[in-house]
Amino acid sequence: MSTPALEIDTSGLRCPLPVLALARRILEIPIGETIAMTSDDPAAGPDVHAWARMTGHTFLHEESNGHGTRFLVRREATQDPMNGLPEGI
Amino acid sequence: MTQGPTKGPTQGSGSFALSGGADPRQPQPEWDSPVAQARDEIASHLGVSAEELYFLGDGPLAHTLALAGLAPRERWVSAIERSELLAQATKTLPVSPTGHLLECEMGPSTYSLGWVNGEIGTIQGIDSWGARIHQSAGLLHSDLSSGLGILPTPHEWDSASIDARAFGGPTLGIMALKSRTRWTNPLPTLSPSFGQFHVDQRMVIEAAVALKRYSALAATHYERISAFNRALRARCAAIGNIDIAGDPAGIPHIITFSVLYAQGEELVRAFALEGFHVASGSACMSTNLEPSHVLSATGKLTHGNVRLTIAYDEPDDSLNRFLEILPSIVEGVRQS
Repeated sequence: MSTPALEIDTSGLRCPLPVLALARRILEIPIGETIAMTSDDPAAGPDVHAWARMTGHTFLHEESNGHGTRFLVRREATQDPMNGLPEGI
Repeated sequence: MTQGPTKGPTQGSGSFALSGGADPRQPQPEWDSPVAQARDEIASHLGVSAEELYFLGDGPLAHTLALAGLAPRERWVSAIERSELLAQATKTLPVSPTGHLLECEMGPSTYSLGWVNGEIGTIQGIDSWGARIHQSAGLLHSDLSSGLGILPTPHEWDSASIDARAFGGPTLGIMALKSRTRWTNPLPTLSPSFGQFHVDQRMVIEAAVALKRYSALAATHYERISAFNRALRARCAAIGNIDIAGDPAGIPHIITFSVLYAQGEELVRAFALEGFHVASGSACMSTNLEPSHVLSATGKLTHGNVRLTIAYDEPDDSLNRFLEILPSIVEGVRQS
């Protein structure tokens, strides 16, 4: 698997903050590139899956280590380029 | 602790029968007649005889025992059952995004599949699953709590359990065992603390009254609450970025949805300020910081979750007001 264009760590943050961070930071990478996010929030697994389905990005992979779970998501050309982020966030 | 298979319910010591019927050796107290009437009333809603009913201290105990007392074999439990049932699972059976049990291996196992899911309202075809399970020499336990009194009760199960609070009743568990069902008390050392004569019989009467009332209200208002369910789903879709759980064809009074980028706790608080008491399956609202396993198993967003359980006599005014304030509450919480 290719190296992610961006690697972020949201350890310590609880829902919905990890997914919010993912939604904002994925906008920093080109379409077709991947972002890696590490989270220790037990809700992050189901939420990253559901978020990718709702926004149109592609969930690629997840793996757990001692600190939490690392998720790989590929940025797609989505219908809403802002990922549904509300104004002001 | 382990007992061999027995015909009908038994317990350890042999001196105290966990019996659905009155003990003929004891003089019957004056309240026996109203109690008998109450038991008949509840039994008729379940499509069983009063002798097939057992009353227990609370719903979770009824769920636990109704499954644990069936023959000791593999226990295959659907992924969206209550945690006390999943705790007994030797295998968890996956469900679809709408919460319907997916095609699974059929075998001589004991299955646990609830009828109407209390969290997302999805209705399982208990009779068709039950028929297939029985063809494979399996057994079926079903949690019948959330549909009882509203929809025609399914019958292709071997043991059933009900939390009386689901229909507005008291803290009381009801276990139903078909007369053919082989059930062995899994907690024989606890038997004196549960069983027919150790539940306050007034609770049974209270439950029967509540069930009768709930059933009448549901019959009168089913279409009205269904219309609200459709309107709420449409409103969520119009707002956008809301993940609605369950099945549009589910039971109308249970609706669960998750608001993207919102915190469940803040939504609950915002609704409470408007006089609406809603629940949430989000991790921030749970004691162990784990999100609802029902939302996870159906692949739904777990943050920003709101769960409505609507009373069938909830007035139109309040339902309409909920629809009116929803967009501004969602917007406010998303931006906070």
